[in-house]
Amino acid sequence: MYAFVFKRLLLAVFTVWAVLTLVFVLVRIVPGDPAQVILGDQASREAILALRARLGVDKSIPEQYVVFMGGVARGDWGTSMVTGQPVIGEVLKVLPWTLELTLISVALGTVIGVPLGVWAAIRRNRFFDYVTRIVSLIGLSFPPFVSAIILLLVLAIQFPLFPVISARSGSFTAWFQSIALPALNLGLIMAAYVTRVTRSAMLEVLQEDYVRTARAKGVPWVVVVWRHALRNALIPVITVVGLYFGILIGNSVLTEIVFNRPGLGKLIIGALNQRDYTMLQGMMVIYALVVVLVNLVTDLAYALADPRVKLQ
Amino acid sequence: MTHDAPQLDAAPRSPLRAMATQLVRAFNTNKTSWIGLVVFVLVVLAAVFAPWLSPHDPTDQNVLQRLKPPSADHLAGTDSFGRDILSRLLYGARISLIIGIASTAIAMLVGSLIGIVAGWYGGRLDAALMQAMDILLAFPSLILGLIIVAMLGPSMTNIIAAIAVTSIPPFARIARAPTIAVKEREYIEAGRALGFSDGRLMGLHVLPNIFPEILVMGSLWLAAAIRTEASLAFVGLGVKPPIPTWGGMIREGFENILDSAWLAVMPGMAILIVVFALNLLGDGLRDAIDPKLRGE
Repeated sequence: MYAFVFKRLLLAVFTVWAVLTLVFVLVRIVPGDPAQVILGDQASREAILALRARLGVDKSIPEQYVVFMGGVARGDWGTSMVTGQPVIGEVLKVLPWTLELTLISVALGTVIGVPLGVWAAIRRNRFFDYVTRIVSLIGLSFPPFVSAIILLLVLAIQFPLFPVISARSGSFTAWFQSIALPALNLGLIMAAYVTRVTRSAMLEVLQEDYVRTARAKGVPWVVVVWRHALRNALIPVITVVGLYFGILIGNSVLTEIVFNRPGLGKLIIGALNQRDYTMLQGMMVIYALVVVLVNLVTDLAYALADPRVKLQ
Repeated sequence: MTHDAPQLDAAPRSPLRAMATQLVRAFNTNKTSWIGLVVFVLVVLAAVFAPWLSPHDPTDQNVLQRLKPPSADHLAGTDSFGRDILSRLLYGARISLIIGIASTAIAMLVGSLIGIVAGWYGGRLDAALMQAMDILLAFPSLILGLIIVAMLGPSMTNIIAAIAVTSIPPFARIARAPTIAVKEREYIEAGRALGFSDGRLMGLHVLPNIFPEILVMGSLWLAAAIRTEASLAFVGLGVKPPIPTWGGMIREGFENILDSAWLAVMPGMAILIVVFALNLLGDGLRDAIDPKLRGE
């Protein structure tokens, strides 16, 4: 087990290094001079030179690379070119909003998706199964901002049950009202994924010999399904939920924009619109680190749940 | 009921025919795929014949006809510049389809090539290529797409490139696994004994065998690409106005959401219909082709 964890950690460190290098390259593929792009055609030569120095792009590429990597290693993720604040500070300021939203969505997605998937697998090729499959496929087909707009139209404008702008205030009711629609939007889309994965994992597990053995021994069907089969079917579900994280991040960006809710999504779109390259670079590093971390945790959880993994 | 042709596990006589047979069989196994295909073909036709089908010029502004709800003259209403929404929807389909199909085709080509080469040669090359794919996967695809388009500028070529880059890894993975299985087959051995080059074996004998699977994934990723293009356009990184795009129309419509909801809802439904049709198509075919589910 320790060897597996160690190997996996080493791989994660390598991935982080490669990801950082890729970010470094990506930010430098901007055609032309970034300082010129930021300041526009009217800018004076002095202003451009000053900004080049501030951005650090007056140095050679290898020098820039060393400065960049050194900064990341020391926890210095750069300074926003627009606000002059450290990127990490700006990110930490809005992170709780995004974290809260994504965690509640993951919980919603799992709580709705797993039972539906199990139920559809048991009712395979019957009415309930067909309906679940079609509805979950529609859920997967919704661009997250379209479903968000529809929720907003129906539940905030047509029937004003929830506020149009999602920002929390004091009481629990206010908090609940503000998070309900964005979380519902992300949660339902995720539930569509989870339902489908759970269904196909359950279909596979239900054909296994030990399920037949348990049935032959006279274990009640409910116990076989919910305890024996589901426990094994959940392993691939964990992996998919982990892999889904990258999609969830993208979806949360779009959801935050529609509901005008503070968070990483609004931060990154603001940085894009203001051409705040250092902010973008820092945020990309943070996003990639989070995804690598989530993948690592998923892999370890997988190993914990399935003893066969450790032997490989 | 359809009668499956007897399955012979010998070398296929013609790779193309084997491929076609497998696809038709897959379509017939899961009839919902036909529905997806028909809807998708209708959308493609609507996009191709947009200049003939559109009642108005999609960029013609008419201040007197601003924000009109659907009527006989404007079947889907008008936007805040008085432009006909139906015409913009039809022309917008072109952008969605061109960007979606081009980026998916590139991703399919490059991804399959990487996957086949990795699976065929194995060893270090395999490990290095797959590790590179994992690194690409470490970026949330929408964020990676956003950054690439923001850095390079929102032109059609750049958007296609950005979406293609984010969709390469899944194709590499899908192509790799069956390549490993296929390369042990007898007819590959035979080809090798006849002195065929690796390139010829991979291109003419491995690719046709794994192509149906790649094509099925292609339809699912085309759906994803169309969604990503719309998402990019929605955050302002779409093809520049006045060229209509569905995502851009939703963005403009969202500004008038309180009094003219149809502006955002109509293009939203258009995206949903296309993506759902493609998912229906790909999902049904995948179930039929997936060896794990076959023969049940």
